[in-house]
Amino acid sequence: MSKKEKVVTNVIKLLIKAGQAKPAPPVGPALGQAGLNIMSFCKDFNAKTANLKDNVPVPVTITAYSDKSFTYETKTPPATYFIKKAMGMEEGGGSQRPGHTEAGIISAKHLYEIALIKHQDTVRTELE
Amino acid sequence: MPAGSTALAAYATFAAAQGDDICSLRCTVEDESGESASDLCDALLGSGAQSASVEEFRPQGLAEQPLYSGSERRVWERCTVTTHFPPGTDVAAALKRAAAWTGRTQPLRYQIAEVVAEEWVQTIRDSYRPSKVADRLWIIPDWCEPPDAGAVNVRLEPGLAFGTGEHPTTRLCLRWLHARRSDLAGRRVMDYGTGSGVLAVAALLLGAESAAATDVDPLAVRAAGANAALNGVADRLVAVPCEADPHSPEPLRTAGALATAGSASFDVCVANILQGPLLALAPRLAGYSVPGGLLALSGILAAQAPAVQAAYAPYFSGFELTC
Repeated sequence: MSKKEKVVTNVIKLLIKAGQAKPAPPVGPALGQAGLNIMSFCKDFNAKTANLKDNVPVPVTITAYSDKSFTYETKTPPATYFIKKAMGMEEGGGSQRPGHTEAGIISAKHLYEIALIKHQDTVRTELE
Repeated sequence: MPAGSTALAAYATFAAAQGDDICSLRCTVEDESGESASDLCDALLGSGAQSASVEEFRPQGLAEQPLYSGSERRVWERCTVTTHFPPGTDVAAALKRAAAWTGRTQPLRYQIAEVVAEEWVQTIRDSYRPSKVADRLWIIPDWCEPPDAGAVNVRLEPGLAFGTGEHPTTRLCLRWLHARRSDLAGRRVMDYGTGSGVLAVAALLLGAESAAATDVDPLAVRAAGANAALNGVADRLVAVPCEADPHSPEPLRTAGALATAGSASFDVCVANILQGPLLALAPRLAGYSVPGGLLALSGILAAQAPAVQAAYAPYFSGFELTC
């Protein structure tokens, strides 16, 4: 007889800067709606991302269960973050006319390095 | 002022909104197929959404489709996708972009609701209950009655400042203080990175004569003072702001509080922060400690403990690790 498994109620995706989870939007409303302990998550997340540079955006996926417990996974920062950094571009920067006008140039070496980092995400899929 | 209103007000300010102000726009897309829900979330996050959540879509009368933690099935067949946008966002335009990116030909059907800070702040409030930390030591949210009136009951207005007594790190420190209450009697305590002030207040209630508390967050400094007042120990606590830079001048002196605090020497120092600040603060905390003084550090993962211990080894000995 298998152990009673937990029932999943929500899967929440967020982007939070390393070490900067706070009980304000976006974390507050998103976790609050699922009835999760926001403070607990914030401190836990900040401790876990303490080794990363401040302001690095960290994709987080939180799985919430019917007993209000939760688990979460972090991934490497979004590819767009690395690309903009490699090009020396500001956050929120980019072409004014995507698909039509170039905003900058990135080297193949940079793209290779970024791909290496992002590849860590795929390798870390769940083991059944 | 009704109990808890300061906490709510503090949360609301922190959320950059007053209780009634809109802090987010919640956009709900119902009856999305499980296969495409995840892609839609990613597209919405790329379109300006701050968060995207998937849950089961269950219109009235339909059977539940339970999703278990260990199952191979990763998503419900029919989902509701809920996203939050910053106030003032053109949600219609964001959804159009997301629809285009996911290759849809039909426009997304959605509802928008305004979220006021009070909604989720209330959820946080409701989740707090009296909590027993150690034998006859409880943390009591301000609006609750203590289950054990004769115990040491630390009243807190759980607000935005960290330290409700719930987190393992807070509990570890509280248990440490409780175990050493005979050492606390008549002593001076420093709570560095005080958050809500829970550790300083607990130390005072457990017998410490006076305490100083400091935090980089000015709202935490306010919360610590408020919680001290709630517990009738405001006259024995000095709370001052400090800067994150460990080379910045000593905070008690900077705040002109040395006279009120008595001195910058403490018999017991407790710092429940994070690895980064703790590593940098070793000289400062050593400077605060009297010879033979006690020190407790927390807020670190077990794997981070050796590095922290190494940073403090030049000044302290007799380390014990508790998880």
